[in-house]
Amino acid sequence: MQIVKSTVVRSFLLLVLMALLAFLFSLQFGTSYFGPIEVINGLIFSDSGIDRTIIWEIRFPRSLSAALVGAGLGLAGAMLQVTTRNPLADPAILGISALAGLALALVVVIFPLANSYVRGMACIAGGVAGGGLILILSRGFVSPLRITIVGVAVGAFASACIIGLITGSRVVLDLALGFLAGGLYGSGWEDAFWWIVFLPLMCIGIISLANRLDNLALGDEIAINLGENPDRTRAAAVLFSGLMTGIAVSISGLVSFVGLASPHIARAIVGRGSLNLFTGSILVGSIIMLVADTVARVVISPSELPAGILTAFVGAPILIYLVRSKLS
Amino acid sequence: MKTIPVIACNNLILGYKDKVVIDSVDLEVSSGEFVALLGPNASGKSTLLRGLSGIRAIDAGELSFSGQESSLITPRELAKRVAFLPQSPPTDLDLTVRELVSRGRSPYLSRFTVTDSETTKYEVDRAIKSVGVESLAERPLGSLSGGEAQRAWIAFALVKKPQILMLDEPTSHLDIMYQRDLMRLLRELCGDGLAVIVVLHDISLALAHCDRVIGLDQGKIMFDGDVRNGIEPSLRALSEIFKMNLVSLPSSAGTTLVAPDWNNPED
Repeated sequence: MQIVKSTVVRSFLLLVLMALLAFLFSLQFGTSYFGPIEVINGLIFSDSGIDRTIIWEIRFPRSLSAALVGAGLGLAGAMLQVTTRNPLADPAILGISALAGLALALVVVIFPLANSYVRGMACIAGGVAGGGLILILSRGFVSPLRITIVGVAVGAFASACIIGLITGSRVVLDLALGFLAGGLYGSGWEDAFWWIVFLPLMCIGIISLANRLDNLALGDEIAINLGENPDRTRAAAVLFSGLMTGIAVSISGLVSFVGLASPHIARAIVGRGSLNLFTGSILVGSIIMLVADTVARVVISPSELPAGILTAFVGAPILIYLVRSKLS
Repeated sequence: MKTIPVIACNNLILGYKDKVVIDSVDLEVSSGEFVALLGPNASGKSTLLRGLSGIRAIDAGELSFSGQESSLITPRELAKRVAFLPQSPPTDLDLTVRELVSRGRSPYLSRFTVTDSETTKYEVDRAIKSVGVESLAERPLGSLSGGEAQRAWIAFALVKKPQILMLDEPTSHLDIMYQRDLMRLLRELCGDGLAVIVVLHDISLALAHCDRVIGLDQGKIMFDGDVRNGIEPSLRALSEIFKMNLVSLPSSAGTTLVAPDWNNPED
């Protein structure tokens, strides 16, 4: 047991180290390059001139936002996969991201002057409603196949509505491309401040749900006999995933595959149990988003790609690989 | 003085939508009793067991545990008192036997507990020992044979220190030696004061090991008798319930064995 535990601790330390490195690189690379010392100076000393502006005002909040998007999507994906017992569950595939996006598009069309916090709240409401809708339409998550089909249908419907709104409204058109492809272009401190909401919610969600979801894995009847309420736990987990997804979508738009891939990678690194899986998925999701955003900024510099395109490029083969390995 | 039964139900009704599955059942089970629920397919045995264990809500009637009304007991408190195992508990879980048994302590633990306390460790060791799977404790559940996995699950059920253990057809996937060992294990547990209620298909196994058999047919209790003072009344009642003649045979231990009269031309 001791050996197992120390291996898990080492795996987590490795993930934390990788996340910190990914964060540092994201501050260093961009249109202009900074060495590690310059980055630290830029973070600490407010009189370091243009470096300070680039690092503290632009890159640092953007990297915080990227890490937040990855963490939110990774956690939402992990929780959906555990709850639905479906290795292909993910906020994008289950249509939850699209519903959060639809809520955002509606708010922007109806209230063009709404600030970023109102938009954020709309996304969160959309994400939670999306989770609730999938829960109701799939009649309580009993059949993984039904959930997936319902999710795909809801997602397609919501995406069609978003496209409809975009083509029908000039206001939304400005936001549209970056939003649909998913990315962090223009993310600043107002996005990074979502960490203040996200961090405590994340801790509460993980602590109150991990143990319950582990008990549910033994089967509903056995879980009830451990004092659990399976339906309520599943509902809470799905609504919570919707909340996490909503925060992520409000910052980055529709980033795909991070929610799908992060839990699979985390499972391979940190092993069993929901607590490990959730924490691991948060770290892996953050690393993926930080790397994707950094590469997106560098690859066609001084212009940039939406990070969502990169996650899809890497994520699509992972999905195909997963489907193949599940079939064989 | 009459002792308070660990579980008692009165006029219990269980059903699905418009269909009544368990119809006005009265039942009392005391501490240390070893009770078999018998009956043909669809007689309501499994439904009754789920109703009694709190796995499913009761539709009408009264259900009490040690004299306390079931609706007044919280789910976690009930979980500590009653252990239930379905017919085929999953074996494809990514857990070792010790990890599985530790999960069984959940009703006693706070949601914020990450590491096992000394009490948990002690109780887990005790449960593992009580079913004789010490040597398998660190093995993955998936690597065990059917009989071994069954024992691991019983340790999981016992680690809660329940007053009642309810098992739904625990012998259905076991070969005869494991069936006998399991029934002996359950008998031993009854000796320690645990009440055991077990749904069985095998009448012979039930009459050879249990103290009491309850015959169900179409959701009603048709027979409820102590078999320690002779099995003849049970035999007659069960022959009627199963619509098949049952015969008794002498056994090596001087007790009587029961077998269906497979080739009876009158049936």
